[in-house]
Amino acid sequence: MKRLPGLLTQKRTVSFSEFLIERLIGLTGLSAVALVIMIFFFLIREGVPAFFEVPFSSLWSTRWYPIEDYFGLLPLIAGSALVTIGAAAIALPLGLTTAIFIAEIVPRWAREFLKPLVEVLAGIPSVVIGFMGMLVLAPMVRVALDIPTGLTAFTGMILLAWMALPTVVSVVEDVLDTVPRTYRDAGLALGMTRWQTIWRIVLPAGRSGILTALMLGVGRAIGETMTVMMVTGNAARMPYAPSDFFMSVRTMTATIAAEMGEVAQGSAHYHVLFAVGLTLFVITFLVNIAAAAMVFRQAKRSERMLS
Amino acid sequence: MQADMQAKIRIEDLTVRYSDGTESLRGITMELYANQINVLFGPAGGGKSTLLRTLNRLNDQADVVTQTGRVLLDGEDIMASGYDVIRLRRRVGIVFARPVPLPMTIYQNITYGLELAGVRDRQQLDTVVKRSLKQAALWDEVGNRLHEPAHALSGGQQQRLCLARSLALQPEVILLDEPTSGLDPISTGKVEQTLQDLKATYTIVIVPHSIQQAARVADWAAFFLQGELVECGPRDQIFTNPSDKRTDEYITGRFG
Repeated sequence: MKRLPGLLTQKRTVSFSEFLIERLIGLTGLSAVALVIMIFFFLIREGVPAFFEVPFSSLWSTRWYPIEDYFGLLPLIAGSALVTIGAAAIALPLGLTTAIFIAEIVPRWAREFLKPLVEVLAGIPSVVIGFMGMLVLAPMVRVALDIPTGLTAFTGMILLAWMALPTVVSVVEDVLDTVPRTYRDAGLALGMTRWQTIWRIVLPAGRSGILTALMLGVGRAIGETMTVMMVTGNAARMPYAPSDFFMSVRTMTATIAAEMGEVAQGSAHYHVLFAVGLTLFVITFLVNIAAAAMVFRQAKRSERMLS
Repeated sequence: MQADMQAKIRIEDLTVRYSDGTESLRGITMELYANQINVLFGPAGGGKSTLLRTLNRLNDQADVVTQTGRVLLDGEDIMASGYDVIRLRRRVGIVFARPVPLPMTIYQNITYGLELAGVRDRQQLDTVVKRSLKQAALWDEVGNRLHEPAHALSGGQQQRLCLARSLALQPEVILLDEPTSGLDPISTGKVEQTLQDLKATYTIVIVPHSIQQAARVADWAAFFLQGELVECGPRDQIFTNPSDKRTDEYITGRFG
């Protein structure tokens, strides 16, 4: 009994390096969290004054014209939402079917070759994609739809979808790969066709992973700046009708990137730009929480499955 | 003896080779009998599972490169090109070693195969669910919670659910690949008892997970060793008086 505490302290001194390493790892982990918190406070400090300097009625309006003190955030939020949701709507079915094709349909050797190929897409810098969008896609959109400019929300959606695609494909393919072969056998043994097996068994079994993939894709799309700035035209006008898909819009990210360099520090405009950043931060945060909550719920269900 | 035994499946000179060069089955010729429990046993890697999976052509999905010989189900060659595989799999059901309940409710697990086959009538489905669950000795345990997720069942219940799911399609042949390897003795006993009841109606082909189980359930037994059929015959002959030395050594525990 008496010797036990002595033993413990002895062990402590022996594993001093262990102790040091533990602390070091803890510190590194904490610094990541601290960084996020510091960014958040910085955003609040610089952004919140905007809500005092600019009347709410101005912020909650549809005119963004900072030179004349019109700070309507709605067109920016709507622009971001339009482009992001549109990109997700294109990327999800495309990514899902591509992943199914790679995971379930092509022979193994083709899969070893196709998947890295898709993943290379993720490594292309966004400027390059924006550049191609400006020079190749935008003129095509303009000619094909016979509209005054090819720099539209639609063009941005396609490019963002293209950028989100490798993430979606890669994650979904991994998910489908972890669905045990016995599931497929069970389906086939019941007289299902291959397609019925994929649709009714493999996909439901991988549902949580597929949702995660979509969220990752959306996360990539909503924060993307360079590409949308290059191809969406940057006209801060409020989209009202479906035809506005094919007009220029301006996203929150593009607004910050374009105007932050020229704004007078400490001015109302400066604070409003931070308020835009704060809004973006909150939205991304909510998307992440939603994704995490979904995955968490799924995890609990799978725990039940195992017991 | 058993001159009245009727061959349900006839396998003629079946050879299966996988793409990695391993020969899984070599020149198998044998018969599987209706209304009998046909046991395929032997050490691991003997080709028993491959043979089972050939009988409802699940091997179509695997890396099988060559498959020669014939498998006749009621005299019809199921390996023939153009043979309706979907229909075959409804006639020849399979239960795997690890129970695989589909991610649905208990009720849906059983009706799903039927709905695919075109049965829509609610009343008919209800009847089939009840009948199959009773046949699989599961009705008493789950009859009052049919609409709960199948994953909530215990391992033994899940396995019997998978059996019920196969039975719902009213197959003619039921293949079982080590169906009790993950189950406790009580559940194992229930499944084995179920098989005894089922053989009156079905042809049962089982790969048992132990020699003891093989001896317990078999009416007819076939001993497989490294892709070859060493010998086959009625249970009493194989387990008490085998004609091949290797069979004798295996069942007396000298190897395997």
